[in-house]
Amino acid sequence: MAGRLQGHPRARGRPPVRLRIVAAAVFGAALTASAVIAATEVLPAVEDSIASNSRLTPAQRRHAAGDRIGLRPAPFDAFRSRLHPRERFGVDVPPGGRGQFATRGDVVRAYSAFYFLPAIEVSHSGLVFHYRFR
Amino acid sequence: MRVAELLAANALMFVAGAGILPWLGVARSWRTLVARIGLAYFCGIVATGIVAAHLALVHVGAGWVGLLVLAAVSAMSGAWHLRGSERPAWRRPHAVGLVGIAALTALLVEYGRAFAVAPLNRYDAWAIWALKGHALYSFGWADPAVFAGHAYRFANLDYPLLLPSLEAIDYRAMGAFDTRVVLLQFLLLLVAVLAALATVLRDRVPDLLLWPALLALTLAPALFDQLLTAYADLPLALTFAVALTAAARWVLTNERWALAVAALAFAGALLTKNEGLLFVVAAYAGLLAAAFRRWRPVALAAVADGLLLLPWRLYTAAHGLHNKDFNLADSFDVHHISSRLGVGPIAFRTLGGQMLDPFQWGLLAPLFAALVVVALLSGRRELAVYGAVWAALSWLGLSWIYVISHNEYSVYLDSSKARVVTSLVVGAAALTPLLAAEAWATARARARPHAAGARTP
Repeated sequence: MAGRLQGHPRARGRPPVRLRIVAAAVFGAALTASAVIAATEVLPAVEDSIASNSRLTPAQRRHAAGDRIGLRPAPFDAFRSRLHPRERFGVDVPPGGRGQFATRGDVVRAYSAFYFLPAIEVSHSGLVFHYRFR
Repeated sequence: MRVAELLAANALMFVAGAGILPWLGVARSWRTLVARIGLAYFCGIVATGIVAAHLALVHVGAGWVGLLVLAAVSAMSGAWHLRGSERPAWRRPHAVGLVGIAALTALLVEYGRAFAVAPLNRYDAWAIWALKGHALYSFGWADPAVFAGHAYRFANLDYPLLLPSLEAIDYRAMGAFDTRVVLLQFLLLLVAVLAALATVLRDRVPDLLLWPALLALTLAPALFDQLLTAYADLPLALTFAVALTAAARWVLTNERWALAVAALAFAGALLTKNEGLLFVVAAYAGLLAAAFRRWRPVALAAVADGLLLLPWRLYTAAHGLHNKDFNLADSFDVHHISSRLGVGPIAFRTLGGQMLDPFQWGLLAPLFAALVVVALLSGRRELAVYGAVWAALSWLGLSWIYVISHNEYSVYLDSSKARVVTSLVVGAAALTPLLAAEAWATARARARPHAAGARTP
């Protein structure tokens, strides 16, 4: 106000009304653009996901993780049917090729640990799951 | 049927959360409880997860009985806390708010269709999170045979147990290890977080800003994609975003309840994933930089969070569980660091590019950056400093991890860059409407005396 009284068109540091409106409009436009860009990506992705996954059978769904890493389901199902909760088992699998962080054999061991729960994977056991790559 | 059981378990979490609100100071009367009931579901999920994760360490499994006890104790104690207080009053909802809620609901229903049919098939989802949830469900606790077992080292055994504990509660509620239905829990967490953010921001941010901002966040392709993977990165980001926003509100208003909500959510972030520690430390650094004169409540909240993390840290120390990707102590290994210093700028740039990718996150990150600058210029320095310090430290910290890691950096960066920036972008997006509203309010407040002056003869 002092600046105003001294003849300045507006006090120093006060944004003119038009600038504030422009800033708000720019922000609103950016937010809208963000939502529109995102929507054009995400909504088709949602539809694709629904279309591809709603066709899965219960068996495909059960083996979805193994399928994604290229493992045959039959050996896993056969071994799982013999297991009891908390029963210890080992895994015999060749190392296989090396991926980014682990060998294929490591991945089979990890998947066995997941798929055979609540049986417990250990390093050495009389009960052994054998898996060979084709 | 299993969906109904999952929803019933979540209803109990909501009740537990509603009972907690008076204890957090969020609700001091029935009226404020109703006004801020949007925080109940989120606080209930986080509190249930924290309690279940701790009980899992002492051989106590949480299922229907645990949920019922928690909900009953919480609700009754909360009601006792509010006895004789002001009754709720009906307030007409704003049209913009209703439109915003309707748009978000429509979007979440659409997402729900995808979550209802998606398989659990991404590596970390089954190898880390579902495996641990299944083990907690089957054994009733964090049995070292699995949680410290040599054969399970691949499962990042040093990661904390909040998310697997929530999954285990869901499996117990459903009576089955159902990896299909449990995905809905991730979507429900998003619902809870959106309600919490709306509640924290509603009386500081105009509806015209708030709801488009929440919609822009929910529409982000990376948010949908990562939530559907059932990894912990998005739950961490969502939980952290509520904490960050509630703490920002405390910076502006000094309301203790906001800091209490932040502390609870920070604890949830710490117990969701190890990376949470980086973001939480960065946020506390931001709080101290922005409100150093109020350091005592900040220190108290930080100590409370440290204490809530302590049991898990004792468990990992007792069983010799370590992070297999990096060790912070390597920051002082001069030989190692000097050979990898060049990785830092590469990681910094790569993560920046990831955050700016419009087809992953829309324009959320640049909007936040622009508003931090605007807030600084407009005089809202506390909030801008808080946001800037948190974001800068988080970004630098994430980049530093690639420097100290012994993994081949390009492979490590490529495989993780999309996920690690999630907490940064989601947190930034949650702060954006508050920054915008405060900058706008400051500009208006400055304009008022100008207008008054113009009328002076």
